[in-house]
Amino acid sequence: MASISLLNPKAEFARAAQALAINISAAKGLQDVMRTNLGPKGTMKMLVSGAGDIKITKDGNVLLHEMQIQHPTASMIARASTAQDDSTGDGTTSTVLLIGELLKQADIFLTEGLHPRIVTEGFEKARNKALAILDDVKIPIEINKKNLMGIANTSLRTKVHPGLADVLTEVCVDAILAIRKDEKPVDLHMVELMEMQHKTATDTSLIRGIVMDHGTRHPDMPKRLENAYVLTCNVSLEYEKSEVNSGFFYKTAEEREKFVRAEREFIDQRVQKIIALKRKLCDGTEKTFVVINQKGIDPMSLDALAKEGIMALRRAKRRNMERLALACGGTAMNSFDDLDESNLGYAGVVYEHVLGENKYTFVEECKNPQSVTILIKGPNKHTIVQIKDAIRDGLRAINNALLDKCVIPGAGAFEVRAYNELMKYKDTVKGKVRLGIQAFAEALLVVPKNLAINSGYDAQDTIVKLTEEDRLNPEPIGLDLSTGEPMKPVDMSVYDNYLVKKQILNSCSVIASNLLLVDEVMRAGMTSLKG
Amino acid sequence: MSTTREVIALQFGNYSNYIGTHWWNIQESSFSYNPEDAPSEINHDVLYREGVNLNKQVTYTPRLLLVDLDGSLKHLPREGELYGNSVKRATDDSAGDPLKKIKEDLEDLSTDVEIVQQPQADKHDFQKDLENPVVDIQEQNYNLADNVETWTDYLYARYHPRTVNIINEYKYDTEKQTFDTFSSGVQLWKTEQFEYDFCDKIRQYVEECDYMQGTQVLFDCFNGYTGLATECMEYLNDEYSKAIFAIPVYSPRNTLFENADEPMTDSIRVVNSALAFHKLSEQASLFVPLGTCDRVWRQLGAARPLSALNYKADNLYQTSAILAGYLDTITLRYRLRNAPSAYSLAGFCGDLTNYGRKLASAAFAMPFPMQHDMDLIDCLDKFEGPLFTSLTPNCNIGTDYIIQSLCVRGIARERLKQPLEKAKEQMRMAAYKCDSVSEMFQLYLQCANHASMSHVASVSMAIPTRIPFPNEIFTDEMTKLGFLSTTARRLAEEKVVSVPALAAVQSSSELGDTLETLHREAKRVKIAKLHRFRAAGLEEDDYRDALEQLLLFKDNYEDNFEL
Ligand SMILES: Nc1ncnc2c1ncn2[C@@H]1O[C@H](COP(=O)(O)OP(=O)(O)OP(=O)(O)O)[C@@H](O)[C@H]1O
Ligand SMILES: [Mg+2]
Repeated sequence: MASISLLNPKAEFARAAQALAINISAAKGLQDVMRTNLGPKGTMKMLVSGAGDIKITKDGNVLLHEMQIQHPTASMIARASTAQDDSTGDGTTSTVLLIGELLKQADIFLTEGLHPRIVTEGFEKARNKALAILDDVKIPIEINKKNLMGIANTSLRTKVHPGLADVLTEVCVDAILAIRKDEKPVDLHMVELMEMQHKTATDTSLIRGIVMDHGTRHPDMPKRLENAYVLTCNVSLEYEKSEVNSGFFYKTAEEREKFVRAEREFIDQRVQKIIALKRKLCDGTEKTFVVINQKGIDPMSLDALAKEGIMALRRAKRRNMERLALACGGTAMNSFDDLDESNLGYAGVVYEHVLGENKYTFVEECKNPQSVTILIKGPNKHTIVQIKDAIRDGLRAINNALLDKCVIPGAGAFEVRAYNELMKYKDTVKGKVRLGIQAFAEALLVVPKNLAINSGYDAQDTIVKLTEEDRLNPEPIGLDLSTGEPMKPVDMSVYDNYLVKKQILNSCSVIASNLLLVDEVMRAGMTSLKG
Repeated sequence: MSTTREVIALQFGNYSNYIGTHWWNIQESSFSYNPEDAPSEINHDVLYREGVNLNKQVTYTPRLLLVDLDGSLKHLPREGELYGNSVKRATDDSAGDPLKKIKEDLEDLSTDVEIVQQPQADKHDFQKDLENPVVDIQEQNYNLADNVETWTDYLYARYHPRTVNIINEYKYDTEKQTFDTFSSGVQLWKTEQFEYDFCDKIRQYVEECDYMQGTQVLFDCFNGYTGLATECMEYLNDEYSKAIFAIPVYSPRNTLFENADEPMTDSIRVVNSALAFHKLSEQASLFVPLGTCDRVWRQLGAARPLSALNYKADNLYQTSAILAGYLDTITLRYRLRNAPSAYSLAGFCGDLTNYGRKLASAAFAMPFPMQHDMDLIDCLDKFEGPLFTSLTPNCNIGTDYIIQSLCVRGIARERLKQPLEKAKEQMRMAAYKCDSVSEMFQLYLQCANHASMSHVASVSMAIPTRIPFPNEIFTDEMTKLGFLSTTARRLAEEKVVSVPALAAVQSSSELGDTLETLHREAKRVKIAKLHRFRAAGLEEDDYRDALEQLLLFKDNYEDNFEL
């Protein structure tokens, strides 16, 4: 682009106008692909790769990742939109729609000769006003199951079918409530997602404890224990043939043997420490003993433990060490030097479940589990992946609500209210800038319009009904997708996250403005357009 | 109870996958499904695992994870074909379209479903025939050397759903390399896909093992995979501290990097190599660079000549087969059934890496050039020049003060020497007292290499070379069984079914030169001018440090040590 300064001003202008046209058409193109996804009635997309891999989704972010976007403008919008997802987990579809619509609305005025600068000035004013309106309509919430169910269910119903969404809602909310401390957002890593290709999606459930994707590796080891002490550790119980040199460097076979024996004894001593503690605590009582090790346990050690009726698992996930301690209590041990009862956790039951070549171990009935597992079930991989994506979104929606301590009425209610208010506001602003505000207001309606279209209602009729009803009501009014009539989102518990909406408003106005000011952007070296 | 000591295999990068594909093919073509047969000398359980799919069918798949870019798989579904989870599209309208079925099931539950499908990927004729029980693939001529587009075209082995890992951030392109720098590989390792998912897959394999020996890591040593693979090794050390045998490989085709001309491409390869070698000197237990070019630092050199072989210098399908033959042979040492414990991966790595000499070189002879009617004793007696060709770029065969581990295969004990009554001249040779192939080689090497130490393993099974191995690389002076004949010529339609081979890993002072030349070339690159490294997070100081360390590492090869 270095040569651009050599162009004469006229050519430069032509070039800018052309670039703008390209931007607008790219944005529209992307909008067309994504618009059918919006809302609970959006179309599900089934993506099939050339090799026959299947992906089923309604999620804007997933689609953007799967689509091969070549056009730089489109990919810039896509990036803004996936950035939205990274930070909040939601709102990608709305972002794409809104950017496209802002450009379309602006285009109407631009063709009449309005300078893009004026439009973007209007955008900025409108954005600030819209943020103020957002603050007006937000509904502070008390953190309880009912309120969180509302926000989670709204999110999940936009991703999976209603029957499944209802199951997942309960699962997600219970998961968060189980591990929540105070009123703060939780560390979502403490919710383990475990997959099991088995049964149907609605069999997905919350396990108040830990599920691991591995089991015992010894035929005589117990497969189910109740009333169990749980030792979590990161200590090798595996005789490592750690010889650096082999063939050449041992003088005699005996020397080698001796080395091997010493090494073996070292491991045996560790095993004996576990056994001694188990005997002390469990023998003669109803209690049992489980070892969950991040390091290896070799067959000889397994054998010794099995003989004592101890259930032992090797190579547990690193992250499960922390989770186990939170679920069962106790601490993850790095050595057995001062091993005693206070280091151990407790689980009411630990059992193994075998499915094909996969084994699972459930650690349940923990007294006060601060880490839980969502066990995702589905008949095939693509269903499982779809559920997993949906659950991630659901969990984040709940977590966002914990952070915001408030929610926004959904179903287009905020957008309709903002439209009405912006149109009033626009008349208070002098000069052509008001046209930019008007464009912004009109653009916001893209959300309720597409919610209507995707449910089979007429967009214009809907907007007329909604805007009128909104003017008559102090409370915001959204669209009832099953009747096509106005409704109060609060009555139907349709809520969106405050911070998601806030970020949509911010990022869309910035990106749309950048795309409109393309001539200036070009002069600046296209830096913001390049990867 | 026989104890299998498992090894986990990792493959990073397209050319590595070309090699890996041949390698797994070679292994599987030597499987015997006949319970009457004597058990193989090779313990396939070292690298393979038994499983069950959801239809309760038993599977036997490599304990492998591989990484490649989006677009490199063609017809192959990411999860493989053994465990379901991908659809076969209807070829005609009569049978129910499976896609429609899924769509209808979904629509029963909720709203509309829109199918967005990419055109079905082409399947290579070889793949089509694999599904067709009436066709004998050995009877066909697929011309693979000319029409293979990617390794999945000639993949005979079938993988576990865990195996294939696709990088979506970069697209596969045969004309330009998009995944370019060591640093972008390091960055990629830090993403959830690798730091969590990939590591977890490794953990799942490890959990299944009773006596894991270690990992063997094959990776493209010229592009972004350098960073990804070496980060992975660091993780393996932190988490498992077992032996790591690394095999950095160089493609014979100099595919340009995106937005780079040839000199720039060469510079990027040199920098990636230097950073990789430095990291390998810290993380690998042993590393053996492989390639069929004689030089790879700046500008790719000529193709290494192998006797009785005729291959196209830059053909990925053919060159990767040679390297796979090497790999299959050299790894036998830790894959044998009932092997003594010195025959382990740790032992193998340990033997060769005294004095911190973790870099070793590869040498290979395929076929091992032996006349079809000659005994080994005479063959060795008349041998002139080195036994094998170097397959480590920028490194010559060492002769004196070397430590080496050899594996010879495909030479039956009956071919050793003549029985006493017919021995004649042979009796005059010292080697006549040798009673095994390995013993005879030992003796030969003692005489040929001054002040050296050799470990020799011998296996009777030759390298199987049936389709899809490139048979066209064997000249017509080779017999069906891979020996040489000066009189008879093999007919064009007759295939070589197996070849005897000799593979070696050598630790010699020659490697000091390898490192020195790499260091020199790497130092000449103006790293500040290669913006893409900085953009991906490499600081100039880090580069300088890495080069200094590389020089220190080179010092390990300075003096001829004492044995
Ligand atoms: N039950 C409902 N009735 C009416 N509108 C709803 C309902 N549930 C959700 N919505 C609306 O649907 C919109 C969200 O749709 P959707 O989740 O498909 O897109 P998004 O959040 O923009 O993007 P993403 O694909 O990233 O989730 C919000 O405007 C929300 O208010
Ligand atoms: Mg959403």
